[in-house]
Amino acid sequence: MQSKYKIRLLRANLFAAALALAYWTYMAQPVAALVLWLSVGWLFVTALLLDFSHRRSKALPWQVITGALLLGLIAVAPERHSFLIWAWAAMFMLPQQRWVAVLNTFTALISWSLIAPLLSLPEALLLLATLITLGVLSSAKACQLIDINGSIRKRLRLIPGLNLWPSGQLLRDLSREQTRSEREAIYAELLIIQVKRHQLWSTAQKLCNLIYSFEHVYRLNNQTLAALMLSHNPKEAAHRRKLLCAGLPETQHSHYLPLMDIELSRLSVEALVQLPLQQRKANDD
Amino acid sequence: MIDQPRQRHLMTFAYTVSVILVAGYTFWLYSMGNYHDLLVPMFVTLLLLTALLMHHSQALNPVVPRAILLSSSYVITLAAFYHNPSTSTIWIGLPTAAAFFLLPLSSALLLTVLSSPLWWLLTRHSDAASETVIAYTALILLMALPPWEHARQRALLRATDPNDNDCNAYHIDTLKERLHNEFLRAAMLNKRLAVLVMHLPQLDMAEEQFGSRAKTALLGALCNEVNSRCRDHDLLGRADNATFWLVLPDTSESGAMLVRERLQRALCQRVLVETGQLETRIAVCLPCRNESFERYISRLEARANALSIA
Repeated sequence: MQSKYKIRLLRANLFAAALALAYWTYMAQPVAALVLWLSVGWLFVTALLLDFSHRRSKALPWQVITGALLLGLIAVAPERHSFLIWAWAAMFMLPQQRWVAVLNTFTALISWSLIAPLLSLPEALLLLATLITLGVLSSAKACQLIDINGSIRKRLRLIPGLNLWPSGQLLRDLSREQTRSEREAIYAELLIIQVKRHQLWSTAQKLCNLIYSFEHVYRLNNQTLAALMLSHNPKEAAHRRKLLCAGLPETQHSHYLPLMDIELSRLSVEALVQLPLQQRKANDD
Repeated sequence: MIDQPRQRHLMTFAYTVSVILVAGYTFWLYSMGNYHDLLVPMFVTLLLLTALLMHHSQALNPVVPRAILLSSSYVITLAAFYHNPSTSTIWIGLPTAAAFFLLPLSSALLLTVLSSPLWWLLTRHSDAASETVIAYTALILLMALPPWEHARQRALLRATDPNDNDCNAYHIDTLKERLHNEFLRAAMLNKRLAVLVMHLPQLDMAEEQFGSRAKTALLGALCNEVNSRCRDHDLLGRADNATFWLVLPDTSESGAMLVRERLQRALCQRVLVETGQLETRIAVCLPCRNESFERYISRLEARANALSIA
């Protein structure tokens, strides 16, 4: 509950910032107004697209767009928007890739050089020095987040509350499940499903709901899912597989591997995804 | 999580640079002959030097030097506006930005909103006073976004990371979920299930007497020992501050007893620097026939309570 609450507050903050910028367009030059409205639009879209999962976290480096908008705002009306130069320091609080951080540093320097003529030289230099200090302060804060993202990311589930895991977890679970199913004398198999790219997340959720809660689903790549299924015997497994495929009509291609036939020593996620292509070729020959 | 070496170095750099900056500013005023403006920057230089020294001594609360740095930024900006009313309004942004980097989000928002009338009083004579108000509001709202993003990521992490914060074991939510899964799996595939309830009687005392490092060492020793001595699919989770559950799938009562003996022997051979021999109390608890999951959980909790009192 508390996490939902945080999302809502972030969204409210985004809308409030958009409103403030929209109000600022009053009495602005046409070009300045245009960039202001663009920023308003960006904040609105961010607020609407915000969700509570790891789905979009590794996607496009959106910090570049934010940086470009900030530079645009300062460039179109340096004397009017000079105050926003301080927002640059906050940019470095966001976790970002190295090249994005370098790019943002350059963009921030350009923004400073646009503001500098408005101030006396010592004042401008003092501004640069304080900005650098604040930038260091804010990146010290970003350190905490980068560290958590690095080490823990490999074992995280992808959506809160769902048994949907990253592919790295599959390789670990496979070896564990192989010994376990052998010891318990049950039949386990890995069902691999390919869907269209835009249907991946909805299919993953459906798949998680269709299988037992003690079975797990893994995301292999942006159009492949795998489910580790446990049954008493191969006959029951075939029956369950048929029911599952009927429940997931959007499946483009699916195949299964009995867990005992998987050779773990040479296994990689790419090999698991590639397999159906080879099978198809074999069928064609 | 707070004290990583890299973050520490960056903070040291920031403290050092701010001392140099304010000292440079003082010399600048001196060389320009503004002797009556000198007092405040000189005082702030000394304050910041203390903050730098406090930051270096690890024993002190890191909040104090942060507070000094933030209040210095406020003092020096206010003094500049007081002595020279024609100072550019852009400098209002300095303490505002510093507040967001040095304080938690809610207090930063509160401080910047409360200090807004002050800035309005200082700048109301300039031509663009209303413009400044809007700019200030927009800046506050934009500066608050990255800390919100941090809060979101942290909440997301809490919701998706199966492990406990302090040790290499599942946290209570995941533990209950995994136990429920094993419970269902055992029922579905006709297998047995056993849980060992483990209690660390030294934990509370260790934290009170030796601080959090002794506590982490104790938790780490337990998790290491258990994880290295159990099968790959046994699940260790932290059910309570000093209580762990070890879920043993497909294990009979006698099997669980054996595991208990083995673990107890191995654990009491571990000797830690501050707390000495590792003490543990372990009990076996099996689900009864046709017992509901909720009832089993409450039975496990009752067993843990009994262990902590014994």
